[in-house]
Amino acid sequence: MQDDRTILKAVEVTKDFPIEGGILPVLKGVNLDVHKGEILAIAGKSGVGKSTLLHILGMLDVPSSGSVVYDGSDLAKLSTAGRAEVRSRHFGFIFQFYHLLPEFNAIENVLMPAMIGTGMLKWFAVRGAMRKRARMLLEKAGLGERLRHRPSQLSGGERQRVAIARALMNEPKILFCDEPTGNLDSKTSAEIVEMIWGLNRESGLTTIIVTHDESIAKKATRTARMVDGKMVQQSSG
Amino acid sequence: MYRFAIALRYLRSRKITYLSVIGVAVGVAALIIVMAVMEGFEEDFKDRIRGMLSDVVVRYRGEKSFEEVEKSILSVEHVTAAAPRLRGMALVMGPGGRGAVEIVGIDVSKEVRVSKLAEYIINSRVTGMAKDLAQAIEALEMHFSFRTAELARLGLLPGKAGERLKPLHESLREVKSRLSKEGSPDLIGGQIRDAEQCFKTWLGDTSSAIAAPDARSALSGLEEGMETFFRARRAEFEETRRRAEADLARFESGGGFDSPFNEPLEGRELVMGEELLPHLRVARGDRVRLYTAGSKGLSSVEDEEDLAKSEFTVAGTFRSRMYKSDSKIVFMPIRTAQILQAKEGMISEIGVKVDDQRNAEAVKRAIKEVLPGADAQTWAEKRRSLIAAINLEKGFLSAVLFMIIVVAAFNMLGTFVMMVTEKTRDLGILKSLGGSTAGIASIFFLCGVFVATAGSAIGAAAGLLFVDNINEIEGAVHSLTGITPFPRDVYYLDSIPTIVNPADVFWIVFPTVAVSVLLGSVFPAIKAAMLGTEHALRYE
Repeated sequence: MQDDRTILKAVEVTKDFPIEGGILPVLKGVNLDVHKGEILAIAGKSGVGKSTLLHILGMLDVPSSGSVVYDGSDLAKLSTAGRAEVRSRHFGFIFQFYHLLPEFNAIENVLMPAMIGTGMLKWFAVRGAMRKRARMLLEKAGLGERLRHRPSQLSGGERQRVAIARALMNEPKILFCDEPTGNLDSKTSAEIVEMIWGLNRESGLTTIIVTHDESIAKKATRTARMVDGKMVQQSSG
Repeated sequence: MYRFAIALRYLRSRKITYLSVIGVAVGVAALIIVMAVMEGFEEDFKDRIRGMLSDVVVRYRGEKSFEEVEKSILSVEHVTAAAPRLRGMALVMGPGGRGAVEIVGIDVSKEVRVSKLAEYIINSRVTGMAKDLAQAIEALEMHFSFRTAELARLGLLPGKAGERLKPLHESLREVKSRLSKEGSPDLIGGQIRDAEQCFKTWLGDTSSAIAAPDARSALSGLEEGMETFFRARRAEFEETRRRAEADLARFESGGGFDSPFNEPLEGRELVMGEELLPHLRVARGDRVRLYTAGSKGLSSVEDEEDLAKSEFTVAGTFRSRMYKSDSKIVFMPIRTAQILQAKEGMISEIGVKVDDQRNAEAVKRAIKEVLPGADAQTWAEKRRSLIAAINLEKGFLSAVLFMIIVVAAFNMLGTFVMMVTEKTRDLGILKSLGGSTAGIASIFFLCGVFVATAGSAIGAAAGLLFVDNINEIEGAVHSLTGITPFPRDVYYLDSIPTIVNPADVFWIVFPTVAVSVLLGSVFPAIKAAMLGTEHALRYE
C-alpha cells in the first residue's frame, strides 16, 4: 500500500536484543507508514518497544530484520556514514531527558547539529549566519535571555525547549520525539506540546511522537498503538 | 569542526587532563635537559681528547726523513700545521714519590700549533694562582681571627670571639671552595671581589656593634691591612691575566714562539701534568730525575755522573682537564727525548692540524695517498672505543628516559578510557545530531593530539629554559641546601656544559607526540566508535 503521502515507512521490522542465555525479541514485525505533514503518535505502555521503534525509524539503531524506507530509499542499504548524513540533514530528535551536552551552553548546544553537518573550512564561512539562526530559534522558544546558560542552569522545561531548538537547527524533514513530556510537570508539558504542535501548524513539519500519555496521543493526526512488540491498531486521531 | 570544539571542551572541563599534559611535559623536559647536558659533556670531552692529540695523527715507517715527510703532509690541502712527537715511557722521581710516566718529546714551537698545549699551560698557571689566592685568603682570615680573639680577651668586644667570627667564616667558606676548584681568569677576578666584600661587611657589622674607641682603632688597623692585602692580590691577578692574554695572543697569531709562556723548554727542562706535582711533591722550578730504558748512559743508577745527568727542571705544568693526561704525561724537547731513548733522529708520530674539523677525514685519506706506507688516523678514530662508550650511554639514557613518556601515554590512555565511559550518553546524543561513528571516534583521537602537543610544547619550553639557566639553578640548589649537584673539581669544569641541538629537540618532540597519540588515544577512539549508544539515550 504505497501512498504518495508516505515519507517514512517501516516494513516487517523486527529487533532482538541479546540477553544472558538467549535473545529478547522487542519488535516482532512492525509495519508503519508515516505521512508527510502529520503528527503521528506511537502510543502504548512502557516496555512495548515504542522507543526502540522510534530509534530504528530515526536510524539511531538498525533493525534485526525488515527495512526502513525513507523518501523512497531503503535505509538499510546506507553505510554508517550515510545514515549519519541522513540524521544530520533530515532528522531532528527530542528526548525525554533532553540530552543536552553539559559542557556547552544553550546556544552552543543549538549550534551543534550545524557544526556537525558542516565541514571545518565551510564552518568559518557560515558561522555568523548559523549563530543568527540559533539565536532566532532560541528566541522563538522564549529563551532569548538564556543563550549563555549551561544546561545545569536551566529548568526542565527550558532544557526541553533548548533541545527542540537544537532539533530544528538543520531544518529537519521529520521530528522524532521520544516521550518529550515524560519528565515534566503538567503545566510545562502543555507548553512543550503546544510548541511541537505549533511547529506542525506553521510549517507542516512531519512529527513522530512516542508517548504513553493518552491526552497527547488524542491530539495527534493519527495514533499507532503498540502492544508487546506489535502494532495493534492505527487510527486517525 | 565540532570534533575540535568538543575535544577542547572535554579536555578543559576535566582537571585530570592537565595531569596528562604535565606527564608528557615532564618527559619531554627531562629528555631535552639530559640530552643537552650529555651533548655538552660529550663535546667538552671530545675537545679534551682532541686537545691532547691534534686533529689527525700520522705514523710513518719509511725511508723518508722527517723533513720530507713534514713537507708532503703540509702540502695536503686543509692542513695548517704539523708537529713531530716521540713517545716513550719513563720513571720519574721526585723528593716525595715516583711514578711511571709517558714522556713526549716535542718541538714546542710546532706542537703549540697542532694541540692545545699552550692553552693548557696557561690554564694550569691560572688555576695555580687561584689555589694560591685561596690560601692567602685563609691566612688573612686567620689573622682576623687572632685579632678578634685578642680584642675579646681584652674586653673591648662584647660577646664571644667565636660567635662573632662565625659570619665571616661562613661567608668566606664558599669563596674559598670555589677558588680551590677551578680557575678561569674571570672567575678569579670575581672571587677576589667577593672575598674583599666578605671582610668589609664583617668589619662594618663588627664596628657598629662596639663603642670602645680602642677597639675601633684596632679594627681600622685590620681594615688597612686588609685593603693592602687585596690591592696586592688584584695587582698580582691583573699581571697574571695580562701575561696569559699576551701568551694566548702570541699563540693565536701563530708566530714568535721563541720563548713561549716564558717557559722555553730547552735541553733539560720539561713540562708535566699538574697532577704529577703533588704526587712527586715538587713545585715549578724544582728538579726531578728521569729513568728510561735503553737510553745511552742516562739510565745507570750506579754511575754518579749519569745520575746527575738524568736530572731535569720542571719548567712548567699543564692542565688538560683529562686526569689521565695530567697525571701521566711529561713533555720535553724532542732532541732530549731522542737522546734519552737512544732513538737518534726518530719520531713516533706527527700531529697534524686541520683548518676545519669536518675536513679531518679528507685530510687523513689525502695523507695516506701522498705518503705511501703512512698510517693516518683522526683523533676520533684513535679514541674510538671511548667515543663509542659515550654514544652508547647517550642512546641508553634516552631510551630509559623515553619510558617517562610511555608512562605519560598510559596515563592519557586511562584518562581517555574513563572519559569515553563517562561520556557514553553524550556520544549517543552526538550520533542523534548527525555525528558519524568516525567523527565521534576522532574526538578522542584529537584529545590525544591536543594533550600530546600541549605537553610537548610546554615540556620543550620548560626544558630549554632549564638548560639555559642550568648553572643558575645549580647555584640556587647549592645555596639553599648546601649540596653541590655539580662538583666542579670532579668534572674539571667551571660550569655545566650544555648544547641544544635543534635536531635532538625534534627527535624528542616528534616521537613523543607520535607515541603518546598512538598509545594514549587510539584505543579510546576505537572504544568510542564501537560503543553501543542505543541504550544511552533512553534512560537517565
